[in-house]
Parts: sequence; C-alpha cells; structure tokens
Amino acid sequence: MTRACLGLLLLLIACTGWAHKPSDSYLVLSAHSGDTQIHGQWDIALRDLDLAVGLDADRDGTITWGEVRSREQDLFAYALQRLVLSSADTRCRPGRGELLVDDHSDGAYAVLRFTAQCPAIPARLGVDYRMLFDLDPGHRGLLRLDVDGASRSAVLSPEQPTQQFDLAQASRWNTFAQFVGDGMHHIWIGYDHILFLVSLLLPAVLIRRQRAWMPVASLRSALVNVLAVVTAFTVSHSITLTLAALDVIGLPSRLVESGIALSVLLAALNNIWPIVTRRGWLLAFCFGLVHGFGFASVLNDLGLPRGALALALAGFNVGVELGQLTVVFALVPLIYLLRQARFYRPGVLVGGSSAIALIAGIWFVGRLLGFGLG
Amino acid sequence: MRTTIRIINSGVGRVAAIAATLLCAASAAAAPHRPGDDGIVLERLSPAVVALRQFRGERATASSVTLPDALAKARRYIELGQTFSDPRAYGYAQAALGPWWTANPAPPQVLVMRARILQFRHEFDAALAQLEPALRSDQFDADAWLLFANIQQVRGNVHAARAACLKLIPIADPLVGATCAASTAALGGRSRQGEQLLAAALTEPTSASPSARAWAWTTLAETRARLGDGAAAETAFKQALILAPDDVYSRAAYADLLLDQSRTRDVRALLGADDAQADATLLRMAIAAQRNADTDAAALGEALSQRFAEARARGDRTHQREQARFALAVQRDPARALDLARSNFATQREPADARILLECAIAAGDAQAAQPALDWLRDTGIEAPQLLLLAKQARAIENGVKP
Repeated sequence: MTRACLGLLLLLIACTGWAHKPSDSYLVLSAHSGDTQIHGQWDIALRDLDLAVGLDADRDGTITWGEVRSREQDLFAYALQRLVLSSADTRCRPGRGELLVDDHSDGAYAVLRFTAQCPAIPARLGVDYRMLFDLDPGHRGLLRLDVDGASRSAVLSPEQPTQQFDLAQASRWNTFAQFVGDGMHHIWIGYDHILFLVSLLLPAVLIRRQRAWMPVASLRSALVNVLAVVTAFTVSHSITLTLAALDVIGLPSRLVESGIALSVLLAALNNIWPIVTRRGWLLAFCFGLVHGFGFASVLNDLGLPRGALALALAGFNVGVELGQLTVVFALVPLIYLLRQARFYRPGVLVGGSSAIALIAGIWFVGRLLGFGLG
Repeated sequence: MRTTIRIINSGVGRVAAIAATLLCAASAAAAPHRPGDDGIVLERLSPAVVALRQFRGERATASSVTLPDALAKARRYIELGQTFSDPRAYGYAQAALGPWWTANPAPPQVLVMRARILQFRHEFDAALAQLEPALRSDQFDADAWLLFANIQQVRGNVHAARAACLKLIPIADPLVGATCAASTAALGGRSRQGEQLLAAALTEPTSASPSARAWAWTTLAETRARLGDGAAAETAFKQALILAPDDVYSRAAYADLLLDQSRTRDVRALLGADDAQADATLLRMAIAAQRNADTDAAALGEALSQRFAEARARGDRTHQREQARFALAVQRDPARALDLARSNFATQREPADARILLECAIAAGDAQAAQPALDWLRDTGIEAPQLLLLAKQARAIENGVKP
C-alpha cells in the first residue's frame, strides 16, 4: 500500500518534470477533394492556455480537468479567433467540436476539435495563424495539412503567420491514384467485361485448322494472340471512353449496356460456331468500342473533378488496363497449360463459352427490356 | 519539487522517479481523451511556470509601458529562463520588449537585451550585430562585453573574444574578468597560465554573484579536464555544483568528465530524474545507460529521440552538437552523426564542437570531413591531449591507416 502510494507520488512528481521545450501547438487540418468542410484538431499546451486565458482558477499550481472544462467556451473562442482558414479569400466559418486532452513530451495539452465550413470547395486554402505570438514570439504553430490522405506541413511563426496551400495541386496525384483504383475496381466487379475478355482469350491458345481447333505449338504464338486481343480491346475502348467522357459522343445508357451484353454473347457464340477465327483482335476492337461507352458512364457516375478531367480519365483508363491485365495474367497461363488436355476444347472452350453465352443472353434481354437483370 | 527529488535521489527512489518521468514521456503519444472526473489533475505547473505567471500577474497592473519597465521585465524573464533553462521565458522576454524589439535605432540596453535573446536561440551573428553598435555607444557595459566575449568564443573567434575580455577586465568584478581571460587563454594555447590565474582568483574574496562564481569554477574544471587533470577538474566541478546545484551546463560538463573516465555508474548517480528535463543532461544519462546496459537505456534513448524530432519539426537547429553525439554514441549512425557535426561546426567552434566532429569523422572514416576541426586546432594552438590524440587519429585515416 505504502509502496503503491510512493509510486503514485513519484509519478506525480516526475510528471511535473516535463521536458523544457519551446512553445509549440500542433494543428492538423484534414480536407477532402470535393468537400467544402475542413476538419481540424488543435493541440495547445495547457501552460500556454493558462498564460493566455488563465486556467488555474484556484491558483494552486495545478490544472484540473474541471478547471479546463469550465472554460471550454472561452478556450474555443480564444483559439478559433486566432486562426482564420479561407478559401479564395473568403473565410471558412469555424464550428466547435469536442474538447479533449492529451499528453505531449512537455506536458498536458488541450485538444480542440473543430470544423471550418468553406463557401466553396477550396482550391486554395489560406491559413492565417495568430495565436500566442503576442505573449511569446518564440511560439510556433506546427501545421499538418492532410488532403485525401497526403500530408504537407508548415511551421507558422510571427515572421510567417500565413500559408497558402494549393489543394488542387496537392491532390493531383491522389486524384490520379483514386481513379486508377476506381478503374480496376470496375473491371473486377463488372463481370460483363471479364466474361468478354475470357471469351476472347479462350481461343487464343488454339489455332483453327481445317474447321477444327488445334492447340498452338508454342507459347510465343499464344502470346501473340493474347497481345493482339488485349491491345485491340484497349485501343478501342480508350477511344470511345475518351470521346464519351469529353462529351463528344453520347449514347443512351440502355443501348450501351445491351450492346455490351450482346458483345459478350456474340464473342462466346463465336467460340462455339466460329465465324471470326484468325482475327480475334478484330472482334476485340469492334466490340471494345461499345465497352468504352460503358466505362465512360461509370466514370461519369463517379463525378469527374472539374479541372482534373484529363487526369481522372487517364487514371481511370490505367486502372481499367491494370484490372484487365490481372485477368489476363490469371487466365492465360492456366489455359496455355490446359490447351492440349482432352477436355479443353469440348469442356472449357465450348462448355465455358456456352455458359457465358447463356448468361450474356439473359443480360441482353434483360437490359434491352429494362428488367434490370445485371 | 527539486528538494523532494533530491531527498529520494538515491537507490530505488531514483530509478523509480526516472522510470516515471520516462513513462510520462512515453505517454506523449497517448490518444486524445475526455477525462471522466473533474478532479483529475492534468498538469502540475513547475516552479518556473508559477514564477513566470506570478511575475506576469504583478506586472499586468502597470498601466503605461515605459522603456525602463520593459527592460526590467525582459531582464527578469531572462533570469528566470536561465535559472530554469526554460525556452518559453526568452519568448516572454521578447514580448516584454514590445515595440523596442524592432525599434531602429534602439537604445544600447535594448540592443544588449535583444542580443541575449538571440544568443539563446543560437543566432550568433544576429546577436553580434546588436552588440557591436551597443558597445560603440557604451564602452563601460561589462555585461555587454562579457556577452560579446562569450559569443565570439562560441563562434571560435578566439582573438575577438580575448580582445573583449581585455575591455571587460578593468570594469568588471575581478573574478568575472579572470574567468573571461582564463577561458580565452585556454583556447589560445595558454591553458596552464589560464588555469593558474583562475585558481588564484577563486581564492580571493569576491563580490561576484553565486552564479558568476559557479561559472568560474566550471570554467576552471573544464580547463583542467582538457589538460587531462581529471582529479583536479572533479574538485572544481563539485565546487561549481555547490554554488549552483541545478545548473544544466555544469552538470552536463561534469557528466562528460565522468564519461571520459568510464565512470558511467557515477554519471547515473549524478544525474537524477530532474535532469531528464534538459536535453543536454538527458543525453549524458542516455549514453551512460547504454554503456551500462541499464534497463532504462532504451527508454532514455527513445525520449531523447522524440525531443530531437520535435525540435526538427519546428525548424530548431540549436542542438546539433547534442544530436550528433546522440547519433554517434547511442544510435550508432556515424554517417548521420557526421552530417550533424559538420553542420554544427559551421556555427559553433568550441572544443566540444571540434571533438564531436573529429570523433564522427573517425567513425565514418572520412578524413576530409575532419579538416575544419584540424585547421581550427592548428589555428588556436589549443592544449588538449585528448583532442590532439583524436586529431592524430583523423590524420591517420587520411594516410590510409585504419584507426
């Protein structure tokens, strides 16, 4: 018991032995592209706030949570009056959040959470910091600005109390990365595109001779086929994706969706009753045009950022290609190894294509008639 | 609080107190939370904070701000800052000067006060630029001459420092003049004479303040330590600590002597929980703990590493010498240590700065990096067996001999 008390006493004594360090506050601002609200968290040393607004009400040399809590309004008023966030020179309206506490290496800090409602999505965020400089010109505001997960930092001082951040610039790479992710995601969840690719790739490890499918002799000829199909599909859907995203051409979405289903159906049927055999890439190119319109409508639904249209388009396209490549890498080695197996042609090529054709047929009818099946 | 710590400053109590300090430091990364009870004590204001607040409260009643009032306030803040080694106090001093911080032209006393604040921030050139006009208009300001000599010495300008001491001697207390002269003599290859002069001056009755006397003893101790006279140096350090038991500079310098003698246990006994507050003393604790393989070695290193990270975040480059030593001795990263030591030597050129640069250059096997320190040693002609040994090792790498 005595030992425990001694331990606690030592802890209390030692906790006054904080590091001697100049006065800093830690300000974290979080912004998201497309959001007019900025979230803030501001850690300010209790000893600095005591100096500024007087926290130790009973002047006993200790600051209790009760003393801090009772001044909650004053603390927010004091701090938020000394920080101006602005978007294009118009002030973002501050709003109070929670009051918390935390410890840093030199003592206990008040943690002020707040929001700032900007009149528009801030392209340029202005930060004007004036806290504590009048009492301690050695004070620094250590600012970290998070935009869509990417961080930037600045040190605010009496010599440099303001900072301007170009948010559009800051999130450029993030915008790109985000659309790459969206593009990949769309391929993986969009079974119609995967099935179309599969339909085109299944015969790539075969060659049509005398009205019969034969396994290709070498990996090289299989890869040439795969490359031709993938390249043709990429080029064609990129063309229509770009034209549609830039509003040069527009097609009704029902027509596009039905067209995609039809393309899957035809590609699958072509494996069962071959018409186009040597030039799979031609099939990929022609039908790829329809798929491009489909990608464009997804991109439109994602909400294209104004001013970063080309970047978003490029990112989405890269994502689509990456997504498509994962399908290729997963499928091609497998079918290449299986190409000579007895069951490959009847089982995988014809059987698989029949299943795909069945699904695509249902999609086609459903989409054309607006049943909403897939 | 300091007395409480001193009472328990032995055995289990001391270890527990250090552990508790580090626990507090470690909790620095604790998540923000909302305490459940109003009675929970979040912060115990240190005597430094209470003293500063009290002083501020007394002064707040004064309605009009006059120059003498502003100067008195600034002086008091600087005194408190020195006593408690609290950087915030220097900021308060700057604020106290109000419009006089930027006034141009400014009265000499204002210039000296500005120089004192700038020196604390290691803005040496800016500080000298304030002092020069101040000394031109008032040649009899002993404090200003002393400050000028100190800054020149830190910058490695031994001749300028000596000239300032000569101006100081006729107008200052004899002990202060002797200390100034002895410390510059030691840098100019006349360590023995400086040591004898200062030892003699310390036997005379003096009206100098306890802090000035402590400074004299510390200077004597450092001179003796550089000359390789460990036992006599230790006696002088003990005298200094009797006069100014909490002086961070003296405590750190004494710890360095003990570290050089491989007396790491004695370093741990000298430096207690309170010493973890200042980076300089915490560094010596961390080095000693690591060499002893003490259980708190990792925690001490972690605490110091966090302090340095915070200093970097605010753009503070005042503790590069300590950072270099930390990188070399604790983190065992000679390349990083050398970068810091070189950068430090560009602004500070005292024996300790030359030493860390040589040590880092030897550890990194980079002869070229050692050159500025070798040049400085040659130019000053300083007598310091240990430094000369390091210089020999540094030159040996140049000749392709592995030290």
